Amino acid sequence: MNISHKDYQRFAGYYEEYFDQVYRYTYFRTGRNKDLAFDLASEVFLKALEKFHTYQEEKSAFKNWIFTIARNHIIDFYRIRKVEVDIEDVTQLLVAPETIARNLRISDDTALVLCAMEQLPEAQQEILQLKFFAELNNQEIAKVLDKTEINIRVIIHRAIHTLKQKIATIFSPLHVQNVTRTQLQGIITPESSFSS
Amino acid sequence: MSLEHNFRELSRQKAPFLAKTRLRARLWWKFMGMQLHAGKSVFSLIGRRFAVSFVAVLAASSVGFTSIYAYHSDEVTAFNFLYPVKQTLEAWVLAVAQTPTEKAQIHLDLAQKRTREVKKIIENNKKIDSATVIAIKSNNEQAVVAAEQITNSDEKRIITEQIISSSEEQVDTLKEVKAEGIKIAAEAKDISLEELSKPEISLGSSEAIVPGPPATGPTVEPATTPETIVASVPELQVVDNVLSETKKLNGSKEIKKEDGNPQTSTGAVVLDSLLESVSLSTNSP
Repeated sequence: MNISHKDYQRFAGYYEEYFDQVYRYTYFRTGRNKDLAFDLASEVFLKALEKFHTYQEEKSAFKNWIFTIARNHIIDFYRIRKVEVDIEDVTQLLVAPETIARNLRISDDTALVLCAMEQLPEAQQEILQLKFFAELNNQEIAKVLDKTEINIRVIIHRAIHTLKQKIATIFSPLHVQNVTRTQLQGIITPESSFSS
Repeated sequence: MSLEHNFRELSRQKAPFLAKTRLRARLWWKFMGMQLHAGKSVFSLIGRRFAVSFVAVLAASSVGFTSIYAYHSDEVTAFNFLYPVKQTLEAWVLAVAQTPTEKAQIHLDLAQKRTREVKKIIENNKKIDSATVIAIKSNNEQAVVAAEQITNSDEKRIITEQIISSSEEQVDTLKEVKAEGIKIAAEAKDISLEELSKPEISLGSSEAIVPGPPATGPTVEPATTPETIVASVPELQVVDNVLSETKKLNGSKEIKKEDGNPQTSTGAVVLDSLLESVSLSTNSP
């Protein structure tokens, strides 16, 4: 199905407005892999353009629609492909917060928060990423994840609570070894596997 | 520091600008591909934009070619609607001239252009445009003044020679224009050319004297001559004036003082000193 030039102009406007948010979402979802994040975000918008004729503004806001596509695309990416986890992706998560702070040009305590966040369960991480990086509100997150708004609010509350606890204990000398093992375990999910 | 602040800091991460720009182009190409796939022809896709661009290029080219034509053509005279374009371009060319040599050359070219235009006007329109005629004189004067400022003696000599040879051509053209102007004025007054060529009969000649006529008797009007026609037509007076000034440029070394009038032309005075300075520099060891 085809879209008119006017529709394309509208789509171009949405691209300008939401691309950075989608990019941030894919960036943190892929463990801060810039190239992969950009490729995935690009593919999301290319796919969205193909399907733009099916989009109905009165049924759903563009933001919800594009993040639904983005989420599904990332899941498909890790499911369909046998992901070879590059040692660099692993080491990225093992670097000290100071290095992360320098690479991302953020403050040290923000880097600590990021490290702590990456230790949260996947579901909590995703909701926090949608909330704070993709800048979706609770209602929009609920639509994207097909959950209720109350559910989302509860998960966010628990996630913040756990995050604060982790920040309090993160990277203390007594916990270095354990933290490292946990971070490695965090990478090995049912969707990905190491190559031998 | 609050968590909210930390998250806000993290949300400052943005995609690389150039990569975003490339993706924008990629999205557009994808859209074009979708249109072609849907069966639309390339021309209908690019048609309107191409047509607008084509028209814009055509318009710009037309303006460019028209300007070039206006600048170079002698047909574009003061009675032509493109004349302001011509004048604007000439003013620009003069403005960008930096050395006295360039300025002298340009003024000389302009004087020659105005001369050709005057001839075209009288051929096509049967008129004389006083402003164009005066411009011949002013451009000649400007050329002489600019030549005076040239420091290089060889360049000065070349420009001086050009001024003199150009003035000879101008004199010939202005004589033709004056003659044509007199003819047109005579025809307008129903005076035949044969009558114009007759010598003037004035009071006191043997043919006219009748002994003892009363002083209050009828007077004999002087016959119409080219000079009287020139005197009666302001435009012809302007041509005559410029002609005499240009003659001074032409034969400045042996200036003939017409009717005992002293030299008043700035151009002639300056050209004299110019020629002197050139001869001095060529004669010097």
